[in-house]
Amino acid sequence: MNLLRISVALIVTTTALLFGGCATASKPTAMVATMKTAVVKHPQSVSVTVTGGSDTSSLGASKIANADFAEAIKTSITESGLFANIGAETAADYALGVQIVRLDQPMFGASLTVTMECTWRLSRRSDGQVVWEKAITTPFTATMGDALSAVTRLRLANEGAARANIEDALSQISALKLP
Amino acid sequence: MTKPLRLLVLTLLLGLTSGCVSQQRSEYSPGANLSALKKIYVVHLPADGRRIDRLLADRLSLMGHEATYGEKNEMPADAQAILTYQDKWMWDITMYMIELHVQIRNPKTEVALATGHSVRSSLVRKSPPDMVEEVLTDLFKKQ
Repeated sequence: MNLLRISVALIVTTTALLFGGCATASKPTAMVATMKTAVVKHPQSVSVTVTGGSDTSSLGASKIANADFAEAIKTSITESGLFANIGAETAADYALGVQIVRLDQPMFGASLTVTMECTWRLSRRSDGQVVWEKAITTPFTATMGDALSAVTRLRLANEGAARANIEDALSQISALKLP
Repeated sequence: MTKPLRLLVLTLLLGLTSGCVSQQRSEYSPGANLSALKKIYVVHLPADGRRIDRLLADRLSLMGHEATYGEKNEMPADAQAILTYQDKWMWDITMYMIELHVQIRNPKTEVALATGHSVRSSLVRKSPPDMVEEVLTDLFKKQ
């Protein structure tokens, strides 16, 4: 009888683990940065490319995909007016390359803190000169108050870390005097 | 259902849910040339009590680099690159390393020149020295 109860408990737990946590990818719209101070509007155009991201498996943890992060960066630039427009990689005045270096995610916890590190590199397309390069690391914590489900909390923490990273980078780019 | 059959069903269920993931990946910044790096300093991760930094330095030395390890503030002045890492562990009967991420960085700006990582779930686990070898071999092979 005891063995039967233990067996049932194990089956129930396993099923809950299997179906209870389906991860979803970090959403582009949730990663868009809202600039807290006005940015300097550079009159040039910029292209945006992102590398180093990962797609999300429904049975794994929520991740940040290259295309989604790029979309969030482009939207942030457009909404802030940091550059005159977003152009194609072969035609824009400047190329903004962003490499997602690491996304530190906890395994468990009531509060989940995700730390994101990106290398941001702004180059002049005409001669390839790198005018600005920086490693930016940003943490974000999602608590039980944000979401009860750990899977959702992790995604929220991803998105918050990404938003903070974009905001920091765009603030620094705003302060540049571009040649 | 007989007892042995029950146990078999449970084992199969648990096996199915633990998954079989093995992923290795390396990425490089534009212009990164790891083959030119001779002196590499492995920065000890403060939370790392297992001293993975020593394993990394040992493997780099075997690969022909002059590698040392220690705390961040003890970095030699002539280091050409620093290596940072993050290890993650999981329990499944015993503790095992589920993920290892490494970054090769410019020692002055700390901008990452290259990143490498290995993810291995329980069924395909490897020992820490083997995961270190796997990550570093892949990272430097492509350069």
